[in-house]
Amino acid sequence: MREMRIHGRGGQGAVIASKLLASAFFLEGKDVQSFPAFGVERRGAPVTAFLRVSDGPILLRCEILAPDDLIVLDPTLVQAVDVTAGLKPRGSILLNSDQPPEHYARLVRRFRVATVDASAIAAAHGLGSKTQPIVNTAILGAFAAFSNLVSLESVCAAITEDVPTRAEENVAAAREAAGSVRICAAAELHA
Amino acid sequence: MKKVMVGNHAVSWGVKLARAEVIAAYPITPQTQIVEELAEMTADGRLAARFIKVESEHSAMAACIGAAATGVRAFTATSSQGLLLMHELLHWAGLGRLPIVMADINRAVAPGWSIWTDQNDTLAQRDTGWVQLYCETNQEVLDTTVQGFKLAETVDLPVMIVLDAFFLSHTSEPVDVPDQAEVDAFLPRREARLKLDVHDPHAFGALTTPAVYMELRLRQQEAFDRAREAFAAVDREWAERFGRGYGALESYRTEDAEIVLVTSGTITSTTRHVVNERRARGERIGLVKVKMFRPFPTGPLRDALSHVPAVAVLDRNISPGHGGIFAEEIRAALYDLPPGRRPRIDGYVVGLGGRDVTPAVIEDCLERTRRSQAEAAAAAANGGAEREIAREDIWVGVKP
Amino acid sequence: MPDDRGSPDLAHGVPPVAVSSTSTRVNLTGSWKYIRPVYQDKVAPCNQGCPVGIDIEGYMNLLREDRIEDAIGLLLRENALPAVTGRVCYHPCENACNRAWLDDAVSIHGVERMLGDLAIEQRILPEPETPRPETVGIVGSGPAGLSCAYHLARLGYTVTVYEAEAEPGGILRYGIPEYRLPKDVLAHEVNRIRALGVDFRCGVQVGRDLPLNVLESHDAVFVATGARRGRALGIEGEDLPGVRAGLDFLREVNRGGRPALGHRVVVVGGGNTAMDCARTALRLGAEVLVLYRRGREGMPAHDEEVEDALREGVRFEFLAAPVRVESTERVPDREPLEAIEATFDRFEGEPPAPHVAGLTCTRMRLEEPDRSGRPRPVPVEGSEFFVAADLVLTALGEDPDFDFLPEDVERASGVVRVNALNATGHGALFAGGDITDEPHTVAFALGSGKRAAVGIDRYLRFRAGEIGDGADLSELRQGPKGNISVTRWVGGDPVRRTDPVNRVVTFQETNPAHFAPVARAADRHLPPGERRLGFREANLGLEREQALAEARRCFNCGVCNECELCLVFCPDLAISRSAGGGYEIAYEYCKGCGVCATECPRGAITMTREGL
Repeated sequence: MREMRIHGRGGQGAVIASKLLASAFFLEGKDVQSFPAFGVERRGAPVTAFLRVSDGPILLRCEILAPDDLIVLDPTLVQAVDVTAGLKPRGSILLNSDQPPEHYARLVRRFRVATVDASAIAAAHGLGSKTQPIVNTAILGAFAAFSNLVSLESVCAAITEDVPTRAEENVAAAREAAGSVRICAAAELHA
Repeated sequence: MKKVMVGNHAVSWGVKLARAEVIAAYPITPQTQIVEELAEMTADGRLAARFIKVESEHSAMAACIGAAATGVRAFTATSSQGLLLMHELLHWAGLGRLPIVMADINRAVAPGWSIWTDQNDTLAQRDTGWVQLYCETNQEVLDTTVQGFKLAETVDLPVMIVLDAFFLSHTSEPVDVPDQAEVDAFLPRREARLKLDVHDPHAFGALTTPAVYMELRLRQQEAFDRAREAFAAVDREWAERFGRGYGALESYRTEDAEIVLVTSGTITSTTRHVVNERRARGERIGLVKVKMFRPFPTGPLRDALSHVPAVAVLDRNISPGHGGIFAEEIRAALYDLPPGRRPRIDGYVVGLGGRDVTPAVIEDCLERTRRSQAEAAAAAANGGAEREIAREDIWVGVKP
Repeated sequence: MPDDRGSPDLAHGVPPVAVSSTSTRVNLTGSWKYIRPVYQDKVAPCNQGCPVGIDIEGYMNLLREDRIEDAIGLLLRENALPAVTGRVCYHPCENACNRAWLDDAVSIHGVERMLGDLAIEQRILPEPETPRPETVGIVGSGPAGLSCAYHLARLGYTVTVYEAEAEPGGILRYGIPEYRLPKDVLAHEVNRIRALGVDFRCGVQVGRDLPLNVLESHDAVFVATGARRGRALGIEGEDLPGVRAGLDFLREVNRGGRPALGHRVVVVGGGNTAMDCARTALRLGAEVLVLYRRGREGMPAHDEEVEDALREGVRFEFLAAPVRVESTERVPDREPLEAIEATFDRFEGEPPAPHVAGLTCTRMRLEEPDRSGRPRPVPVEGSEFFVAADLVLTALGEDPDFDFLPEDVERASGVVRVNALNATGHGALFAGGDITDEPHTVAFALGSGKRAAVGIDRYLRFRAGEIGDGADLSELRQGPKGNISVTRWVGGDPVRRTDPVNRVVTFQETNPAHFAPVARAADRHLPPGERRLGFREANLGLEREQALAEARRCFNCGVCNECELCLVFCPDLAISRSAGGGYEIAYEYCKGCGVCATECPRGAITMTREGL
């Protein structure tokens, strides 16, 4: 079983991202469980969403405290909250950032890190607004390319099925992000 | 067709498949998604129902009572304070023998204001004359919702479908949505033989003298007695048609168990995980899941737990001044078993107000029971007094 | 599995729920009541408030049922000139509207105008009754004369109208300006009256061009020559050529004349004629000042007229009265009214040789109310000031002119005395409009003409209608104080009414809880800037959809429109739909609780004492 955590800000689509990723894994025959941090959400405030993926039935129904993988939708969260709390040693971190992964020197030392400029990609595909792009679908494409846990095709299929509006643009963003993810050389070493 | 969906939408889909005809509800976290989805289904024509917007949960239940009394299939959903506000009308539905189905998302009651799960809201409605069915997975939520209508209409009792806040309501997981035609075959249109009819007016719920009131209560009690068998039949038929059954009670790996954990709701899943790990280590640990709380499955519980040396009941609820409510009821149900077949029963209060019940918490309960059992066994071996059952339930996972 | 559903019959033991063992039909709860509801249609306050006596509520009800043609038919039963009144009537009906207590009165004039225009567009002609042998002569073709002619023609009489001017219409044709009432609208409605067979003889003035005894050839005569004599200022210089009676000025413009006014026109007076004069002069290119001796709130002119005048750029000087007209020969040595002079200075152009230089005026102050109940204006000593003017128009009110009538026709306080059906008591002579004692408005004139038509019909059929005749007309009225209804006189009401009583529904009898507030549709207007450029109609009324929406705002006071609420609310299910429409009450079950009457949105249910 693999456990994942997605960090975002209220309004960025972290919860939807966890659902889409669950659907993508489900399409590949996995059992899945996704849920938001239980509580009250406010636009702009840090939010988290979670995902469990397993080949067999998932029995745990409690919170995820030690995830294997992190997806961070907003690079400023790295300063705002301890995004790596509980992350397993050598766990993976995918950051939405216009910087190369090496820019996050402290993270690179302990974890496998990749970055993708999902904001620019989402904005280029007209998702959300220029100042507040909706990055969740783009970053899932990058996650497929970075993690090798789920195929890009499954991610795109999940988007097509579950995103009610502008599915085509979202799929295009995911594909572009998959092609432009930057993986820290050290990450490949760890893998 | 399998879809990944939240537990709230599993309820909505169950209601849609059951072709509810009247839906009246008032929004409350964490239930609102249920009726939002139903409102959309009603608005866009997927569900041919009348959606009645009301100004409170009290009114929602009143509307359902009126609708059900005219012979149609009625549904509502609520949670916590909303359910408490309905309390008076729950009795009206119960003694009125109206087969309303309601989903309640278990949410702790205030104060302090909480939107997180525990079972005190539904257990406070224990004596209102409603069947109560607790669910563990989103699949079970959908299935039980449809089953609930059939059970309700078979015995003329209202049925409450209960699921944990967030752990089910807001958690997405795969759910197999049955085919509408197959559900239609399982659950035909409601045929109410006793209903409000302007062409043959009768007074319902009018003044009832001491000469008959007690008999009415007896009829209700008889209906609850029949509901046990009726649910078994409904569940059997469901399993035949859809390949999934739940039972009022489920025994999980209890064969030759030395300790059996008893749970309800989503704690059950995590407990299965603990049981599997212990069994993998060769420990004789089992699990009993209680799905049906009213009518209380006394017979199946006695069958499942007699001969088990020790039982640990995990209660996500508290009856202040007494203890965990499932533990108390199970002790009462098993009390008159012969001494040799009567298990030692430890009660643990866990997970109130949404406190996470992790494998570690469950293992803590398990180890405490193992120790108390060992002490009791040692005392018995030394010719000590007849072992006593624990008088006070233990709070686990709580700061002193 | 055993099943405990089924018969509630106690013979089989106690049923599963608390249900009566027998049908509750045996419980005749009707024996408990001491008051009982009855369906009793009443009169809407708008109907009573209408001086014409139109069944407004009735046509609103028909519109609600999408019966537009029937609605027009009902309107034309009572009103000869709906397209005219929809434009120029000051709609007292709306002042009476119960809906005003909830949000705003229904725009009744807007609906009426829409229906009136539709009647013209569709050339709708009401069916006359069986022809009568008698002929009736009518003197004057103003609103009263036209109304009387129309209704008499519909009642089957041969009617001849004598008109002094070249075209029929009286004040409608020669008084009210084109921008308020386009001539073609009036012409269409007059043509409808012609089409009913009415003979108009224009250009003949009875008593001047035609001997009075020509009227003796008719079986009955209706005189409605109106108030055409403008009141004089009664001040020095009044006879100068630059001083004109307002009505005379309006008549000239309405005949097509475009008199040269000079730059500066001062209108003296605060009534509707004053407003017509001011707004007309404005359209002819003048700067206009209205002098009025009381304040804004004391003006007899209708509010909408004053508002429109202000919007179009008419200036007002309140609490001011002229004391002397100054000729160009003798410009007073006095400080001019600064603000006004400044405005006039900006005006460029060449005035015609003026005869007056302006008015010397005095400030007024208001003292204790006079006999009319309004504050009495008195001059302020030493407050004289000068207002420059090239032309002074007087609009101080008009007096009736009926000198040609036989001397033994009874007069009182300058008007012809008539009874409740406008008979003078002088044989078959009837009179109406401004020569009788009633407000000088189009609606009252139309109402008096209609009343006289009914009076003449009754007189010719039954020789009834002497002065002081005590005949009980209450059943003919739209409410106890309303005008006569032709429908009630001849019968054939197209609106289904249940046991109607002639009582007006108050707001307290309606149930506003059943009506959501809806904004009243406002009339569309030409922009004020465009209005000054000519005589195009300024108020464009409502779109048809807006008017129909207004009809849906109507409470339908007093008339059951089968809204079903009584049936829904009856706690005893004692109300059911009746086969012939409407509802019936099963009194053997009705407890007399009154919920139906309380819930009825329009006061169509009355609670009555049981057994009385």
